[in-house]
Amino acid sequence: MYPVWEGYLIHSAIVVAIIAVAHVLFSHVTVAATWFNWWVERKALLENKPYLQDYLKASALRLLMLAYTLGAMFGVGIWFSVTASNPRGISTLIHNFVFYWAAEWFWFIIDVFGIAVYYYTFGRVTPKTHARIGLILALAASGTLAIIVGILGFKLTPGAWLQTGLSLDGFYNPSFWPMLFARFALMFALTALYALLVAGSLPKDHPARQEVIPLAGKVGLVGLLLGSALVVFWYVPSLHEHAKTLLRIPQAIQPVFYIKMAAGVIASGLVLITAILSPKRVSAPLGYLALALAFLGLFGAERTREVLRKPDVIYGYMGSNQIIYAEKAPRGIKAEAPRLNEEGVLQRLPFAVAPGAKGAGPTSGLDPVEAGRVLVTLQCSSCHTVSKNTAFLGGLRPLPPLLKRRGMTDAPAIRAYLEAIGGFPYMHPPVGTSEEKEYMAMYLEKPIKEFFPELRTEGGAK
Amino acid sequence: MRDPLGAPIHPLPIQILLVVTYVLHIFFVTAAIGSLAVGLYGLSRSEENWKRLAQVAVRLATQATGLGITMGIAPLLFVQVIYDPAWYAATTVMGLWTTLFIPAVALGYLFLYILYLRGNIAGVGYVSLLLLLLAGWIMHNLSSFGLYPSRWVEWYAPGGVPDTRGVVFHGYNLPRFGALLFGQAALSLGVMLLLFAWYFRRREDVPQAFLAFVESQARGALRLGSILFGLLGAVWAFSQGAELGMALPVLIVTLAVAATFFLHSQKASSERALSTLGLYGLALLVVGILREGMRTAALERMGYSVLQYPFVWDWGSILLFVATALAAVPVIVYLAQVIYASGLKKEGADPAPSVERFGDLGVRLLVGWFIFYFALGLYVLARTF
Repeated sequence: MYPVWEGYLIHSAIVVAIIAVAHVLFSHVTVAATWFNWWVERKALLENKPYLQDYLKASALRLLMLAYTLGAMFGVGIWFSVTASNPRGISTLIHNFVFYWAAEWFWFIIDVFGIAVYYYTFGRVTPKTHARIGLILALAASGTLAIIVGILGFKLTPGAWLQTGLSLDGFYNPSFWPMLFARFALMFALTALYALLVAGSLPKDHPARQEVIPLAGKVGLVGLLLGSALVVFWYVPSLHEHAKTLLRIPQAIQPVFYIKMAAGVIASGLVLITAILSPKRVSAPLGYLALALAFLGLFGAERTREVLRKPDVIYGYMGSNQIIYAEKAPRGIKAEAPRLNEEGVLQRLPFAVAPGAKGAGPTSGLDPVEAGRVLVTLQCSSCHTVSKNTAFLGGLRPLPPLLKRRGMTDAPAIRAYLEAIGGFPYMHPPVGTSEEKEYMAMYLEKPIKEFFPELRTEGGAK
Repeated sequence: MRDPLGAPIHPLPIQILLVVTYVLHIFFVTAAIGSLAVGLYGLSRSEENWKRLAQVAVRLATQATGLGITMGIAPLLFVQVIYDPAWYAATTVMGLWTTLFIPAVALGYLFLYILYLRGNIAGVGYVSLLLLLLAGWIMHNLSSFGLYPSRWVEWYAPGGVPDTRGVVFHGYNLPRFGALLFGQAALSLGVMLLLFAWYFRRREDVPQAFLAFVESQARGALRLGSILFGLLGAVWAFSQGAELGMALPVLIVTLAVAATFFLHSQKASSERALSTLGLYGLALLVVGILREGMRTAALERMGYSVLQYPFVWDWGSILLFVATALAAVPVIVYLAQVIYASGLKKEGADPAPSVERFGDLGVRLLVGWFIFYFALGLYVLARTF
């Protein structure tokens, strides 16, 4: 177990979520945009419509500046933020999939180098050569999607990997195929919105604008309908029972997630229909607005997918608190929870540091509240705000209000509540010796009193 | 603290890949910093040659930053496989800065692009340079932190009380940062400028006087870089090098690189730019091996041996990696040939027919990769059922 980074003002998990969704938006736009642009370039060639080059140049410049590099960068940003917030989780992925990511790296090189070559060779090489570069870009961009889907799906549905420990089993996991096709379809909807934004920025009477907007509307609408259908009729049914149960529990998947997803899909659909029926009404600001709403929908969808594997970071293997719970883990790995319960977290883990904690009992000079803080931070802070460090704008599922709402405001009540936690499907019971759970309860009483000063005068009354 | 899953291959190939990909990454990163710095300087000068060089340098900086970021992904992957305890201890203890790394790079890159497109907003360029330097500083700390395993707990929990905000930098060594960033930035700039002058030597629309000016600036950059690298390297040897018992190797390597390029700067010419690039690649490789040696030595003191890292032979992942490399590398070569050919004439030019055929082969290889990818998936699916 590594040191804990709670976050700074903003909870670390929220930081990861923001970066991850930005990455999804940029990268999905990029992948489908390469196919869309390749199609438009072929159209320009075969139908002798050179004016379409103006759209392609405008699109390529934005892709070069924003989507490609920022998409790739935010992808790396997810690693960075996760290495800070959940290092053992990312370590599991890295040690399984390092060569898959290294393979994706080759596609990144083609993407980033290729888009620059594509942009800078407009009019400097024959149209056929240029169209070939466009096709190479489309194939390589799809390669990045093809790889990351396997790794993303693994976290929620590791499938046979849990028995074999073979990376191929984890990569081609039970949700791999539906997610691959659903994402591929849905990204055309995002790309269509992007195309509207680009085409909408061309002069009103530009023929490329009049031609690209309805085309993008049709492509995007087909992608949106097909992708949504694949999610509902193939992806969701491919999930395990645990995930399906969580989908029905409002404490796990809050209704606001569904509202965000629905808003994103409906708004995107309406804008795409407008592009088909009334292309003149489409402008760049509408494209920006639609992309912003799509971002909202994506945020809801990606957060839902992340929550579905709770209480684990890798379902059935490692908890969100980075402790391995699997009793029959692959490659001879042993569950860590029983040992921590028996020997104690403070004794076992190198960064579970508190003054006097490595000695035996209170005689060692151990401060039970400080020890409790360390234990709570280690076990709870990946999903909850546990101190004022990350309480900005209320924080993430903050423990003090949560415990107060349930009437647990003093140490004995909290101690009893900790024992009951194993009964929720979205949380693992805390680990540690009985004394350590006492320490956790003693610490948790403290932030409640800090968050709610009125409780101090009531002597901890509920 | 090692990951219980182990590595998917013997640790030695991972270690080699780590060093080699680091060399590619640091070349482009330092080239970007050097180019941007000289571009900003050029913008402040009124002479025609300097103005023109500023344009060239900013464009170089933009492309080098994009490639530097992309190349950085690979060493970032490999370091997490065999140095997971050191890397994750660093990323968590300096969590805030770890998280701010990418926003700093992204914003720096965006500002750089604005400078490139608008051409004359030096202020934006300075902000970009500061952000890219901040990113370099963060990465230096993350890397250097791993050299002091005996202090990790003390840094995380000063006085025994954990600080979970991740706001304090640890492990830095200014001379090392200066040598590896500023010293190498000037050297990389010199190499890039020589390559520029070599590439455009036959273009009639590029004045020979300008190319001669670029060549002389390249020699100056090599000279400056070698002096900086030598001086800062010596201080690095006697500070961090001495702490880790590696003063002599650091001193020998840094002085040898500095002396080589100081002497080379006298006779460097655009005609021999490719051999200068080769020499520089070798120097970067030696410095990369030195860095790796320091890390290995520092961790071995605590009983951590990279070559003893547990591993399994995960053939599936190795197969996918090799197949992807076989499909992708020819395509990268093809793209490089296209951009090379198109810049040889002012109005652009097509690559040779043999290169075009190579491009068709590249497309077929990519399609072949997808067939392989789906076939592999169906095989796994069939095996699971």
